[in-house]
Formats: sequence, C-alpha cells, structure tokens
Amino acid sequence: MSSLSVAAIVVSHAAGEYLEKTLQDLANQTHQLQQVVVVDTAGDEQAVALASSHGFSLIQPGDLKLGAAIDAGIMALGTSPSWIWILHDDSAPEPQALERLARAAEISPSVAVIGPKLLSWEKPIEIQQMGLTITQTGKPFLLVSREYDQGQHDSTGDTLAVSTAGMLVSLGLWQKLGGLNDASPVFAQDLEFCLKARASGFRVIVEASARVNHAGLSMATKRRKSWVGGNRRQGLAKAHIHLATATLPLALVIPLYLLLPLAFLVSIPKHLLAKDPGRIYGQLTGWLWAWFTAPKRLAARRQLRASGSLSPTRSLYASRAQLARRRSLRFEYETVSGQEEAKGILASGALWFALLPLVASIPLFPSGPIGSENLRALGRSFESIWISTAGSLQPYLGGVALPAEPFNWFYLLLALFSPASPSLALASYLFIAPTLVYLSAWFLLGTVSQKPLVRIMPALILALSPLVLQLQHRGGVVELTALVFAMLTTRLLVSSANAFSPARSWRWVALAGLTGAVLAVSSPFLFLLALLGSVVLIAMRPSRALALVWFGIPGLVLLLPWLVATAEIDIPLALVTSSARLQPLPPETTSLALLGLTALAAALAIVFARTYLAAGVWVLAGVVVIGQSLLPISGLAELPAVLLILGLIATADLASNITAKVAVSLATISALGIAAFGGYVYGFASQPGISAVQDRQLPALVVAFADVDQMTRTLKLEVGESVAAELVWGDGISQDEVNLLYERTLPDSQLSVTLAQLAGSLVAGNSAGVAELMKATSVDFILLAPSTHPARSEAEVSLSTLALLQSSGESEFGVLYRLDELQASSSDLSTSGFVNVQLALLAAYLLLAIPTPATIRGYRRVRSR
Amino acid sequence: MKIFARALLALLLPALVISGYVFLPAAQGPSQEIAAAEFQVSVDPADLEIVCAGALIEVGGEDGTDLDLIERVGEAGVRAVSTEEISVPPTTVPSVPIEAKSSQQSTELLSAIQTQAVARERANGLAASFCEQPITSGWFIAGASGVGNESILSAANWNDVDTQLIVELHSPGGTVSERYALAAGQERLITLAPLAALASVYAIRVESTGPGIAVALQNRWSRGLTPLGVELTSTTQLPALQHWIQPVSVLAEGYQPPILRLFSPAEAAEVVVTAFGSEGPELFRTVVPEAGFAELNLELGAGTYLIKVESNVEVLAGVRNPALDPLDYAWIYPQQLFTSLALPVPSYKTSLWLANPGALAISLTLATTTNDRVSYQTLELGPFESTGIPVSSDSLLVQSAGEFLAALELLDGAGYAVIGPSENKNLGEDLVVSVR
Repeated sequence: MSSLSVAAIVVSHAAGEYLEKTLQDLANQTHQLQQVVVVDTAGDEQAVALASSHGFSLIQPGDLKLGAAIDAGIMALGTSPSWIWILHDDSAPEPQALERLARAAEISPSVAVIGPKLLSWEKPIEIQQMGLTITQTGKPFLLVSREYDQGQHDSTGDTLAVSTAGMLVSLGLWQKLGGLNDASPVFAQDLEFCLKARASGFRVIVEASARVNHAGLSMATKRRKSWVGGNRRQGLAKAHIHLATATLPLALVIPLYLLLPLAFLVSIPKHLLAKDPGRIYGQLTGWLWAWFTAPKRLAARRQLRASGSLSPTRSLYASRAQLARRRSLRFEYETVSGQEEAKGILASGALWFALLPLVASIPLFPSGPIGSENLRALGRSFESIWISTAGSLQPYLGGVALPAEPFNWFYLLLALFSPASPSLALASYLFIAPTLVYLSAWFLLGTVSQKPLVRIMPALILALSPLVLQLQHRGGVVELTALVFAMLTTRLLVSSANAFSPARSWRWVALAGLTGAVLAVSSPFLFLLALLGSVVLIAMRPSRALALVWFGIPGLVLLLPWLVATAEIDIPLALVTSSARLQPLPPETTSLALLGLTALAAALAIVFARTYLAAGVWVLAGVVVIGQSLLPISGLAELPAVLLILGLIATADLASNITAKVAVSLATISALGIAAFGGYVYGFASQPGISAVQDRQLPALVVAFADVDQMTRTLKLEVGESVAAELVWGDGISQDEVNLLYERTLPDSQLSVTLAQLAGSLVAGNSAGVAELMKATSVDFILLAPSTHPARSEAEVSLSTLALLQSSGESEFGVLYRLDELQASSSDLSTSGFVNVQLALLAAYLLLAIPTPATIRGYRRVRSR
Repeated sequence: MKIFARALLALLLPALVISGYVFLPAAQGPSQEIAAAEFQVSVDPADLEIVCAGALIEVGGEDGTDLDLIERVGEAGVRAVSTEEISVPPTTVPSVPIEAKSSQQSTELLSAIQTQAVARERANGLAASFCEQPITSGWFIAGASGVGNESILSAANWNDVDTQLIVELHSPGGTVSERYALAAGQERLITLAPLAALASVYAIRVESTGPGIAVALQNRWSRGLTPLGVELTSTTQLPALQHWIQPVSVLAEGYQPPILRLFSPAEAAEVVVTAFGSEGPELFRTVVPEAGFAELNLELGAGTYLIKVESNVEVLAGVRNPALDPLDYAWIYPQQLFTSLALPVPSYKTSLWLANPGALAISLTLATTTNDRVSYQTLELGPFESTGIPVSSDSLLVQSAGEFLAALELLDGAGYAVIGPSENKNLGEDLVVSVR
C-alpha cells in the first residue's frame, strides 16, 4: 500500500446521475484519501445531498470554470496533501485506480502528472482516452480512442498530456504552475498544463492499470455550452488555435492568424468531403474568436514559454504513424449478424429489365432536336443555356429583371452531357426517360423490400404504364423529370434517416438535396410534399434531424428568385416552373384500370401487409388528390402517375409477403403481361406527338450577329388576317429562353404597345417614327415569316420600301431585313449575383454527396429494422 | 393493430381517397398558356401606287426573223378611276406608274386598267390587264413555249433603289432560275423561251430581292401562220387551297373547251373542281403531281361558269378560255373576294361578271358613272350564282354586304380578254397586331 497523501477534488457541474456513481466509486477506493472535496459549480441540491451522504466536503463557489473550481477545492482542503486527484463528476474510478496511480507516482519521482486509462462510461470495454498529445500544428490528438481494451496499449507510459479527468498531480507542481489557465479553451487546458509541466522538467505519464470510467459529457456536448465554451466542434477549433499559438514558432504564429480566413475557406470543402459540415461553423467561430482574443492567446504563449523550453516535448507530439493508424482505424466496422444482404441492380438482374422501356421507346429514338406542343429546341450550346439561366435580366428593352424559369437548371444539367448540342441531349433524355423511371422506381422500392421480383415488377409496370409513356410521347420532359426525381428524393431521404452514421446520413441528405433541387425546379408541389416528408422523418428519427433539416435548402434556393417574382406578378405561377409543362389530360380507360388495380392491392396491403406503410400511402394519395383539386393552376400532368407510384409501393409491400411458388409465378406473369401490354400499345406501337425541329431558329445572319452581340433583337412578323409581332432576342427563343413571367407581364407593358405600333408602321411601309420605335425597342432585324396570305406580300412590299431597312435575303425562316446602320452593342448580359450563391450551395452539396472514407466506412452496415 | 381495425382502415381510407378522386373537381385555375395581347393599330399607309404593264411586246420583229430584237409594239390605252386628283396618260408604250395619296385606300381611291388591240402577222387579238400594285414575289401559271406559244415577261422597277429580279421557271422537267439586275427606274423585257428549253408548259415564280416591282406576263398563241390570240396579265397569284375563277365561257359542244391548268409547287395534290353554271354544279377530280401540272378539259355544256378549285395542298390555278368569234383567247386567273370594287370601264364592248361564292344569296348595288352622271342598279345573286351585265359607262362601283367576285369580260371585234381586278390597298388602317 502506498503512503502517498492524496486529496481528491471532484468538480461537479449539474450531472447528478453521474456524480452519484463517481462519489460512490470514490468512497470505495483502496487507497485512503486524505480528504474529498466536491466543488459544485452549478449550485445543485442533489450534489449537496450526495456529498454529505458519503461524508465528503462540499463547496459551492459559484459558476466557476474548471481551473478556478479546482483551485477553490484546493483552498478548501483542511491540510495540504502532497498530491491531488482531480476527478470530474462524470469520471467514476475503479476501486484500485488511485492505489495504482499513487504507486506509479512513488516509483517515478520525476513524474508529476499521472493519468489513468479512461474507459467509456456506457461501454467500459472500450478505451475512451489514454493520454493526450497534439499534432505538429497544435491540434489536440487522442493517442488511443474508441478501441476495445485488450491490454494492447498497457505499455504506454510517457505522454505529452493527460486529461484532467482522473489526473493525479503533485500539489506543489500545480501551485507552481498556477493550475489550469481558465483563459484557455476548455479542451486545451489539460494539454497546456501538462505542456507546462513537461517544460518545467517533469514527466507526464499514463498508468494503464488505473482505470476510470468517463462519460465525457463535455466532449459529448451534454454540458451547458457556456461552461464548455461553445459546442464540441467550436471547443476543439478554439483549442487547436490556442495550442497552435502556444506551441508553434513565433514566425509561424503571425502568418497563421493572418491566414485564418483563408484557412476557413479552404477547410469548407474539406469538411464537406469529410461529411462533417458542423466543423465549418466551428472553424468560423474559431477564427473570429482567435482574432478577438489574440492578446489572451499570446499571453498564454508567454506563460507557457516561461515554464521552459518546449523542444523536448516535440518528440511526444503525434507521429505520422499514429496519425495514419487513426485514419486506418476509421475503416474498421462492426459486422451485424443476421443482416439481410440487399442484392444490387446487377446481381438481382434488374438491369436487364431496363432494356424493355428502351425497346418501348424506339419510336422516340433520338436523331436530332425535338419539339412538341409545348417544347422547343434548347439553346445551341451549353453557354447559351447558361446565359439564359444565369442572366440577371431578361434581354428585353434595356433588360427586365425577371428570373429565368427554374427548370432551366435541369436543361443546364442535360447540356453538360452534350455541350455542343443540348437539344440532342434533351432528345436522348426523353428517349431514356421511362428507363430512368424504371430505375428510380426500383431504387425507391428498395425501401419496401429487398426481394428482386418485388422491386423489378412494379417498377416495370410503372415505366411501361400508359401514364408514363403518354407523358413521354407528348414530350413531357418536366413531368417525367418530376417523377424520376420524386422517387429518387424519397428513397434518399429514407436512407438518410436510416443511416447508421452521421457521415452517411449527411451524404444521403446531400444527394437528396440535389435530387430534391431538380424536383423543386420541375414540380414545386411534389417538392413541397417531399419537404413535409422530411419533417415526418425528422419526427421519426430525431437523431438524424441535424442532417435532414438541410434537405430542402438547394431546392428552395433554386426556386427562390422565381417565388419572389411570382409573388409580385402571379402567385399561381409559383407552381409552374417551366413553359414546357403539358396540359393534363384525363386518364384514359387503361390508365384508370391500372390505377384501380393498384388501389385494390393497396387496400389489401392495409390488412395483409404493413398497415402503417399502406395507410401512409393512402394518406399521401389523399393529399395528392386534394392537391390536384385545390391547386391554383389547371392541374399537373404528373399527378396521376404519382398516384400509380403510391399504389405500386403498397402493392410491392403486399407482394413481398407472397411466398408460395405458384403465387409468385402467377404474380410475375401477370405483372409482365401488364407491362408488356402497356409497353407495346402506348410505347412501341404508338405514334409520338413530338417531331424533329431545328435548333437554329433564326436566319444565319442573325445567329452570327447574336454570337457577337447577345443583345441582338429581332422583330418577327407574321402577316395574315392580322399581324402577329414577336420580339425575339439573341439567336432565337429556345426553350430555355421562354419565360412565363415575361409572357404574363408583356400584355400590360408599354413594350407591347410600342411593338404593336412598330409592327403596324412596318407592314404599312410608313417610315414616320419607325426609326424612333426601332430605337425604343432596340430592334436590329425584322423577319417577315413565310405565308401564302396576300397581306403578307403587301407587307413585304411595304418593308422593302423603308429606307432604313436593308433586305438581307430570304430563307426558310422568311424574309430578313436589317437596320441599315446596324452596330453591335457593347453591353453583354450580366450574370445574376444570386446565381453565385446557388452554384456555391450546389457545389457544397455535391462535395457532401461525394463518397469518401467517412461514408464508405462500414458501408455494409444497415440499421436493423 | 387488430384485424378489425385494419379492415376498417382498408375500407375507409380507399373510400375517402377514391371518392375524392372521382368527385373533387379538377383545378380550374389559370394555366401557363398565355394569350398574346392584341392591339388595334392605325398608321398612315404608304401612298398607293399601281403600275400598268405597258404595250404588247414583240420578239424578233413582226415576222420573227430579227434575232435579239425585243420591243414593244403599238400603245396600250390606260383608263383609271380615282377619288383624288391623279395624272394618267391616256396611252402608254412603256409601263407606267400611277399614284394616289390618301389614308383610306381601296380600288375607290385608285383603280386602272389597260387595253390594247393588236393585229400583226404573228399576234392578233385583245390584251387587257388590271394595273397592279408592285410585288416582291408571286407566281404566274400560264407560261408556255414550244410551237406556236410564246411567253414574255416584263418587269419594271419604279423605285429609287436598285433590285434584282429572280425568275424561276418550274416545269415537270425541273426548275430553271435566272437573275436580272433592275436598276432604279429601269424596265426589262424578258423572253422566257431560252429559259424554258424544251418545257412546253411551266409556272413562273418571280421575286425581287429588294423593293417591290411591277411584273407582267404576256402570252401569244398561234397555229402555223394563224395567230390565235394574245393575252396579258400583271396579276400574280400565290399557292392556295381554294380558288375562285370566273367567267369561264364554254362554247357549244365540239369546240375547244376551256382548260383548267393546275400546278402544285410543293407536293402532290388532290384537287376537286366544281363548276357552277345554270344547270347546277358539276364536279371534276384530278391529282396534281408534286412540282407538276395537271390540265383538265372542262367538258361542260355551253354557258358561263363559276369555277371553284379546292385542294388538299396549296396549288396554283388558271383557266385558258378560247373565244371563237373573234378568234382569241384569255387566261382567267383566281380572283379576290370584294365587298366594294371600283373599276374603270374599257372602251371595248364589255360585260361585268359578278358572282356570289357563298351559300347565301347576296344583294349588290352597281353604280355606273358616265360623264359624271351616276346611275344605280340593284342585283340579287343566289348561292354560287354568277351573272354578266353589259357596261358601257366610264367607271363602275359595285358594293355589297356580302363578298362577291367580279371580272370584266371584253368581247369585241378586236378580240377577247378578261380583266380580273384585285384590291388596291397598302396595309395600315385598322391593323390588328398581336404581340407575343
């Protein structure tokens, strides 16, 4: 038995349930304590009762910080011991802990600070901490963390620092060094104190045989933030800066402070890639904190340096090997026994079935730009779509501040696949759209069942259903996009809620955010439903709330300019984000039969499958039905297909309960029959309502001029019984340049009156005022569209007599005239400032979505259902 | 959950949703389809200008042996009617522009015709034409070459700027194109035989790359040494789905019938021809090949007919109508519909032919002016009915609440000609402009 005189100082701060165990274990120590002083900084009645029940001294000095609280405890000691044993209220020592620490102190006279092996409170087999050190940049580093204790680290001796939880320290040294510096961040105090001890020539060791169970309430952010100095990430960031200031050479410290903003910016993508976005905020507050408290950091540095040279301590900094080992440990995971292994799309054979929607789409095989009732060709290049999407002003007159249609973002995405011919990418997309519907439905049904057939057959029925194929054949790019991304978003949100690690949850939510953004720009109504769904998931899985709440941000940010503009102009248009939307048609008999069949199965699913899932599906269907009726616009063409998806989800859940081979075979044959019928009748054998169009919409001269001057404007005249005048800008109005808000505001604008007057003067060949009108409307070219109407010939004669116009030839677009003194304008369309915010946000979500070691780690694990 | 509660849910939820689907009315809010704004715009139209084609043209001299000689022969008489003070030469050799200035434009403001009787070795007959507004493009269907046929084009640029005339000859053998420079104030006489090569019939498309020009087509027909007539038109047409042609006079059985010529520039056309005569309508059907012609002998009983041409694609049409006494012929082209028409009356024996293209009877008022004395006549025309009224006044004005067709038929000892008028109007007044 050691004869070391030790007094224990237990610092308590409102952690009653932990304090009880700590004091109990303290009372059971095999080494006799000279005195135990409980320092309660929270004024807790329970602490008073517990201390008195064990016969320990208790002081309540008020809301002090850790260093001051320990000093207050020392002051309260009756007689001065040679050593003090510092314990937190959440650190319960094993009975021999102090005995073994004391023995280590006696054996090594040079040792002045000894730390125990800290084990996890909840899982005592796991080492929580065994000594502390810092990296070369001053970042706190745990030598051992979250490893099972198999004695593999018990040889550990000298270390740079130990935690104050369970720290046995020479009282003389404590007083000599002035104890903990409360001006330092909480997570740096113990490191700083031990560095001082080391600099003063004393040793700091870990005694592995002494074990203390530590809840780590501060690290787990279970303590009051003001006491810890912010949340865990902020605390760690502050500790990093503080220790870097203290330990780095002065020549590096000043640039470090100057470069902190840059470091913050550089760290953003790093933290996003690491799926640890919370650290961004910590880094930001750390930087601001460092700048505003720089004198204190420098004072702490002087104090530390006054203790002695730090050079000998560098050998105890975290080595490269230790850092590498820590990284490799992150890839270890615990396998879960009895886990249902999901078959991938290849292994399950689902990919082969994706060929069927492709075959059904053969009539739409892409060969060039396409157009339909509401669809025009896209801009001629990625750049032209970018200009129309990101431009701050619509190029009418001097520019009208109207946002582009939100669905342009999706065109921009498509243009990435074929930058030189976006229209071809659009045609290809329409061709593969039912296949994408199939794949996304297969992906979504993975939340219901992992049985291959249960996922494949409903997905196939959906993709080859009349509801989907008719949308495809009518050129319903917006509606099909909404369907595909609604299913992807739903699945990703569920995956995020069910993820077993925050990193994976962040990744899924980032992906859901990106797919949700596409959903938002294609169907704000469905996006709203997805937002409500995310709220439901947050309620079901509060532990993933921190990630899930970020789901809607990209979608909202992409929609924001449109929502603001529609709020001023025409609120119902907020729900119509593209002029390419189709007018809804009433479902025909086959579609109704299919909906009825799935409704029957969904009703049976309430009884024979998962009741809550089926009931949820029905509630959602009710919301869609009511929404379809109450929407302030005349319907959304994708909603009947959404009802079919909901029905198929419940059907899949019901089908997953079928086990009899005969029943499985019958169900499969039936599903294949339904899919094949739909695919043939409404796909393969159906005449598409789309046709080939040109992606050049104006004569070559105008297009060439528009390449030089983006503000080029052409007045297109169609002369018949009446005169139709259309102001076309740039190289022609492509689909990405059509703007519902412009069309809505044009009839009431002065521009319309001016254009009408100009058109009248031109077709009448009356030159009076034409020059002024052309200047007012900034028209450079006049295009007289082809027509066999006699009035058109008269208009052609009239135009040809105007001296300020010069005939520029005839093409399939009509007869072109240009201003006699045509000059390229110097002004180009500027990019909206908000686009940078939108892009930055999308980039951030993209970084967060990229799979990295943080998400690959343990990827085979799934949360048990 | 108990089975009973499940069953209840399985009945209740679907019942609610399905009844909602069936009974809730679809949203009736605004769609994204936005109608273009329409404006009524009135601007002063440009001064009304029409051009008379000028005297007949002869190629190769009177006997046809002077190579490269192409010249006008004789003088064309010009008659005009106007509500404004205008200056009109009584006769002209070259083409002549006539101008009138007013914002209220129609044939009442300015209307003119030219006539010329010719009796030469190779050309004999009466050529008469309406004086048309300049055009930038248009079609003639009556091109003919080969033995006994000759087509000549005249083009005049009465503008201040030069232009280029593009002449395209469309025949079953293909299309031949030629360009001619037309300086400001210049007129060109172009014989089409070199362009036509071996094509016996062809349609002619003319186009000015600059301002509007006056273009006229003259045809001459002879058999051996016997001249069978001359014909002149400055009325171009555009391909259309429906044409009205009148008055088509059919001689007694055994004589050469009128020939309806059809041309489809773009694609094969199925054409239905209805001839409205005193014996009721008669139907003809024919197919016009793509970029080809169809010629249909209108085998009808003797009389005068109103011809309606309907096609599934846009076609050109014209009727070659022969006259026996005197020996001459006229091409009759599709005519415009009028509600008001003013015309000068030629000095030759003339009939005004009026037709009702509608299914309802119309009432017309005919005002004829002779030496500033106006006399009125009221007419009733039943559905698809046409009638000819001899006129010998200086000018005439026809007005009706319904649309009608009108043409002047000149049948005199000097020859036979039909003048198909068209509206003289520049765009400007009460324009309806929709802005998109």
